Amino acid sequence: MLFNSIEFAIFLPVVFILYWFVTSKALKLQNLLIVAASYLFYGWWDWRFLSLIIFSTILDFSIGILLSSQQNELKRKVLLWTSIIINLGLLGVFKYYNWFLDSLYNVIPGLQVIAGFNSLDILLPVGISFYTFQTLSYTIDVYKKSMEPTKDLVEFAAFVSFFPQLVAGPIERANHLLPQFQIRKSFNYAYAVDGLRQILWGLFMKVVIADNCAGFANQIFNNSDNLSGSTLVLGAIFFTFQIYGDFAGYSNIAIGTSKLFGFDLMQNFNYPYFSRDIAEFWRRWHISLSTWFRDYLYIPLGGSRGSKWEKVRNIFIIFIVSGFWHGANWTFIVWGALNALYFLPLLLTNANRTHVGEIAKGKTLPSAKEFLLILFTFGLTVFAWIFFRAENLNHAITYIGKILSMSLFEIPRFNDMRNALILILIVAIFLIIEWNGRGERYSISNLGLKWKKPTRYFFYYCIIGAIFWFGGKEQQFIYFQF
Amino acid sequence: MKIFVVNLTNFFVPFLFFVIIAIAIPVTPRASKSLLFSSEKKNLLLTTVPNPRIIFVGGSNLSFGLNSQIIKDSLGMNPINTSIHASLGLKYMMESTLKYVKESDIIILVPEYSQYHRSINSGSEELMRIIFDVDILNLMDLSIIQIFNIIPYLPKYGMSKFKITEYFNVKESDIYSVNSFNEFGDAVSHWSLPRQEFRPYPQINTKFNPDVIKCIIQFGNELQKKNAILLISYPGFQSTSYNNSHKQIYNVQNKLEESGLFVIGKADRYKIPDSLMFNTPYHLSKNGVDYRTILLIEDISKALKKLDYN
Repeated sequence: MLFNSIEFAIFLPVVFILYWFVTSKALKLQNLLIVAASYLFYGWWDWRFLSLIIFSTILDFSIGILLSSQQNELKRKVLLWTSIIINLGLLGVFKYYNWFLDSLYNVIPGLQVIAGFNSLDILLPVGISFYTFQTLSYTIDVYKKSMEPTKDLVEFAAFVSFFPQLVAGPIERANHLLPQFQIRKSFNYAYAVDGLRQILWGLFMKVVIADNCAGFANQIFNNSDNLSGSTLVLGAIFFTFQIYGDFAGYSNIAIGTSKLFGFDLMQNFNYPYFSRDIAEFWRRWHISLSTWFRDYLYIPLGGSRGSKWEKVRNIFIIFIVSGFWHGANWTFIVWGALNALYFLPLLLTNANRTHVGEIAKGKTLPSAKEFLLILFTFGLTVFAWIFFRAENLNHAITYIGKILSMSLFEIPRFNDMRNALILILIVAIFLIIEWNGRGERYSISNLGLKWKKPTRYFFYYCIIGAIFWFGGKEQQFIYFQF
Repeated sequence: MKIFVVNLTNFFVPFLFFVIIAIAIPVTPRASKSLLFSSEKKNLLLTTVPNPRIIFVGGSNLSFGLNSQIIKDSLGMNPINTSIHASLGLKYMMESTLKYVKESDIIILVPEYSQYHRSINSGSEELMRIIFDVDILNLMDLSIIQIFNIIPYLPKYGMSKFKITEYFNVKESDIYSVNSFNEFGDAVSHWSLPRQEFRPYPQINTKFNPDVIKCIIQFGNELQKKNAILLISYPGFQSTSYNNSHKQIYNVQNKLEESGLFVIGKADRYKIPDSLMFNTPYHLSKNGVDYRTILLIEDISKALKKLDYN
């Protein structure tokens, strides 16, 4: 069930009404409803996927309880690794097995005949990378004794399968989300209204920005051989806004939906395209995944401590793993490695935490220096996204090669130039709104709150109007495939 | 909670009111020139054309890809080209034709390749407009899911009624107009126009939907009850676009052949040279139309012989 579908538009009010009018008296009932609704939401794609999520839930719930009662350190380690191996094993089989086999057979021709292993005809379960990481965080935290395991299976199932963030995050930490299932929720008017506002903005980002940019980005990336370098630059910029609108839009809808049920999810995007260096970009982009890798991979590896060589190694490991997490394709690995290369000079010169506060705080516009830094970082990001979007490495290299040709100086040309110009104008307005709201958790959270009701309503009607006017070309969320 | 529900209702009521009022406004002058309105004439043909009849059902590949006069002259049958636009959806095309089918009609169904790779119930702006602009009774041809799927297009449709350009300075399209069709239902106004530049379609990147075949089989069964015959053909597709999706097209061909449906010809026979296309990978120029029509006549003749059709 997609957030931008008619099914979800029916599903959400029904669950909302049941939650607040039928089950509001008892916590257990509230959690049961969340589990039932989440399984329906997830099973809507393919009911067979449910078996995996149920299996993961039971496995990690049981391991959590066993970990709490076990004092022997060796046995505790065995339990932890059982969870890690099984969870990552499932992820590996569904997501990486075919790619691994194909890559191996490409490197060693003839191996297929000897080994006899063939590719599997399997579907990638939606959101498997997200909920696998979420359940793993629980087991690891219980192992580290940084949280108590839950003894309530329904509560744990609700934590694993909570439908607003099940298929594309934010990847929540057990110690933040799980306790929220332990308190009976009472309705909070202001919180729910804020949630609706965030959903509205998320839908705008997805339907107006991402889906419309997708049309042009796809057109340009799919015909890159026949287009000029300048058009390809524009294609990469369209994709840059597509992926942001798509994923940050999804996150806003997820967080807003959670607020309707009284839940608080972590912020996943913090205006990444206004970053002044790449380290700041990674503190602002897909925050729930970046911090997951930081806490469960980077710091255990030694983080930024140790020798120069160890620092470099750790940075490359974390970025390449992060790239690989996105999918079984060399393009993602190169995208990760490229970001590591961007990051490295900052780390080695101890400049990776130069820009940590709000950008141009208290000012209407950034300074000239800030503006140039933002532009430079944006340029680096756009360049990296080419690898992320390309079909394969060869496509990415040809694409970049074409950009670096003399045709870079030609006037961009592609189908539907008029609509492209309209879209560029909309993206510009979107950027102004984002800049204006950059100190908030989402850009319209405070916009218009002091306006008179009719003006405020008119503003919201304009957003709704834009969603319907520019919508209709429903696209899957990009991150569902991860 | 009560205040929340009341305020939410207060917020949405004006919006809903606006949409309902807008829908109730009569069709705009611009919209009334749309090729969707050709469905009225086409339905009239389905009611009035006498036996022996050969009815073509498909998307714009058929409306922009058939010379029914040659068919009439070669096969001695009365052709009716019902096709308008693929976005109306295969299910709608089949169901809206079914009610007009008479005994011993031959129905040539030509789905476009994209239609094998999307939901049978998918909605579109065109499908919504053929209901709300052309004839609200067309709603009866839709499933509940299709009705749900066209709802998201209604607010935009409503807003379009308030656009000044819908009422003033309305120019009829040279190509896509209600008057672009001949007496058989073929789009002909582009036959005299020069070829236009366009880009080939990239590889089809969505999964084959087996429900499409099931739906066609069901359509065939309904036709059988009316003593009519269903034949399936392949769309005339630009060569470059065909090559980009040859694996997916080959898969479609395999699935159709496995299904037990009466399929005429092979997909690659209808791979049309790029030079014979008009303005999209599915729209053929006059030369392309004649080329494709002759191929189709050969396949239909063979099929009729096999069926011993008189």
